Amino acid sequence: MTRMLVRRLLAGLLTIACIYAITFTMVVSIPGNPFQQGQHRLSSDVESALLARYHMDNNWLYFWEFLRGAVRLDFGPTFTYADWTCNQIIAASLPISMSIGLAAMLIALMVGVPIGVTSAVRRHSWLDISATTLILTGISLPTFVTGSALLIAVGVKLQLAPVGGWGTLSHLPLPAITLSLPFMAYIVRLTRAGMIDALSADFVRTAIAKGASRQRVIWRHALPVALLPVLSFLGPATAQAVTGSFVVEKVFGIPGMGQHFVNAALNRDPGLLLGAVLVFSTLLVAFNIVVDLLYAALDPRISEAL
Amino acid sequence: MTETATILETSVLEIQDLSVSFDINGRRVPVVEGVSLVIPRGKTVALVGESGCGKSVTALSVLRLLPEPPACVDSGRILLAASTASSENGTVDLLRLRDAALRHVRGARVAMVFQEPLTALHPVMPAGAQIVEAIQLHENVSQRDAKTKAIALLDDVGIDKPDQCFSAYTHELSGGMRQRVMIAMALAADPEVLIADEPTTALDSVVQAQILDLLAKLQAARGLGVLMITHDLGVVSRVADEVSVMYAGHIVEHATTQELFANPQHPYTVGLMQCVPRITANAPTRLTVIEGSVPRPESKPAGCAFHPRCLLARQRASEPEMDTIALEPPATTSVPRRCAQAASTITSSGTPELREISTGHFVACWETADAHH
Repeated sequence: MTRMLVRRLLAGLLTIACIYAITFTMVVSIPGNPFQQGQHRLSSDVESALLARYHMDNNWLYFWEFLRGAVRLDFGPTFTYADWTCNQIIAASLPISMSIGLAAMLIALMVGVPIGVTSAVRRHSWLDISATTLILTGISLPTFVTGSALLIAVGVKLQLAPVGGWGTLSHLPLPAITLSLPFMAYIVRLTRAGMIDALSADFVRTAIAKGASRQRVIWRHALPVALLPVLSFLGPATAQAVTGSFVVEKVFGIPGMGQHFVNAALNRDPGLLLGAVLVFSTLLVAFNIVVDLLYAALDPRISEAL
Repeated sequence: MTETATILETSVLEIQDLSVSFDINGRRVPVVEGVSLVIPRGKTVALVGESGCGKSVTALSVLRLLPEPPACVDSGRILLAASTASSENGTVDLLRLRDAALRHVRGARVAMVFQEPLTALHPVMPAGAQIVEAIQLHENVSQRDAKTKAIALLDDVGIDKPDQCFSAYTHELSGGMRQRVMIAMALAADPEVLIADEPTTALDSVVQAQILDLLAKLQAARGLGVLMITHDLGVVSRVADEVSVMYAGHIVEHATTQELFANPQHPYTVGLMQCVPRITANAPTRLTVIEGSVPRPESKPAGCAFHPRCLLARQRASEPEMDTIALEPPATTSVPRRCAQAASTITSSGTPELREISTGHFVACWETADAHH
């Protein structure tokens, strides 16, 4: 188990390094630099002095200098927001995105799993058919549609929640629900498929033959086996959810981290962009390792192979 | 109820006239037709036949484990005798029990051992937990007492280190150990009847013998009635007191094990016995086979379902004088020799019914039944 953990951590570091290298290459290949933005042009002397100051005149040097800072968790200054460092921006926005993302995953699981189980148990019933339709809708509808619809219905018409902004707990539900919908759709689909498989398995017949009740067979015997594929989906999904969604943040006016991915790229702000990508990839690797550990805890057949 | 009570005096479980059909592409296809079986207290009855003859369907329908749909029990009764332990339960028809009542029979009074323990045991639940569950489903005991009982059961089924096995997962056990765990689980709530659906088919032959000995030992110790589903006549001769031979959804012969092996009557039984390889001092001979295979339920031949593969029927059909015999009006007292008639007549003459040819020996064959009249 420890060996597996060490191996996974090393592999994770390698993954992050690769992501950094690829992202860096893309960042420096974008034409332009942060000092050419806006209306007023800097003189070429000032521009090249600034570039030299931040090692951006030499890609190799910049690659290593940024990396040196990054391993000390220092992503340097941002060139978009005056008086802010990248660290401060991430520290301010990541907790917001995290709370929305974790709430979204929680909603997705708590609603998705029971719906998936029920539609597997009552296959081809009206409930199953409407759930399946909902899944398709959930996967196909972009969040700016579902988000705006929720906002108009709950925020504007019913006035049950604020239409946007951030600060109190009442700001959480709408963006969290919006963000949860596509994840929920996948979870319903995975749970349903897993349950249909599990319910036709021999061990379920054994449980019935033992005298276990229908509910016990479904929740105690079939579900733990059916949830394994859901678990593998949760790793990358959670990493994605907690690093924020640009669209959800735009619709609800939330100062989360998702916007920085897009804005930093548009503003040619390499520090913030690389910082955001590194935070995302670290979370992705971390959640995947957590999922692997959970997987091993749930399925002894896996833990043996590790 | 009075009628059933007398029937069940010496038996613990009776299957009466059971018919099961499956919905295959919107068509009802009979898979088990009019099967009756009696399991005496403390005896083992074997149900033998090739794959696809309906023996597993019969076994599964006792505890109503068939998925419905597509399966449907069309008729019959499955009577479980009033338990000796508690007198408040009269004889019950398992096919008419409600879900809650049925759950108190499953595992508690009638338990099952399945063919492939690797898939029949839960993949992510330790062996011990599965046995504890089987105990606690039917007995109001503490977790600790249940664990003690589970370990005792593992010991009973001949597992060397029951403590270790208790916390082991299915995939960590050997095939024989898995089947022992399965048996321990089946016995967890002290059932009166054990239905073993090909319990040794997935095991290698040494382990097979051990498991059969174990089953025989446990049966004697606990006075279990056992229904042993198998395709293996070796298993039958080893454990069974009585045998029913099944073909294409029908019982074609029933007798005590001794009588059946000494005096097989149905051409199918005879064929099955000739299929068993024998080690003799003589030079090896070619292994006899029954030509063809069990007909699929949806395309069962009319008349005696075995006639296309039956040597007797074929012999008769090729006899030149057969036609003249067929033209004679059958004598009122004798059974019509329908196998002896032309092929077209064979198919129109219905299915032969079980007839008692000597005490306790039943055969469903036009030919052999005839010979004894």
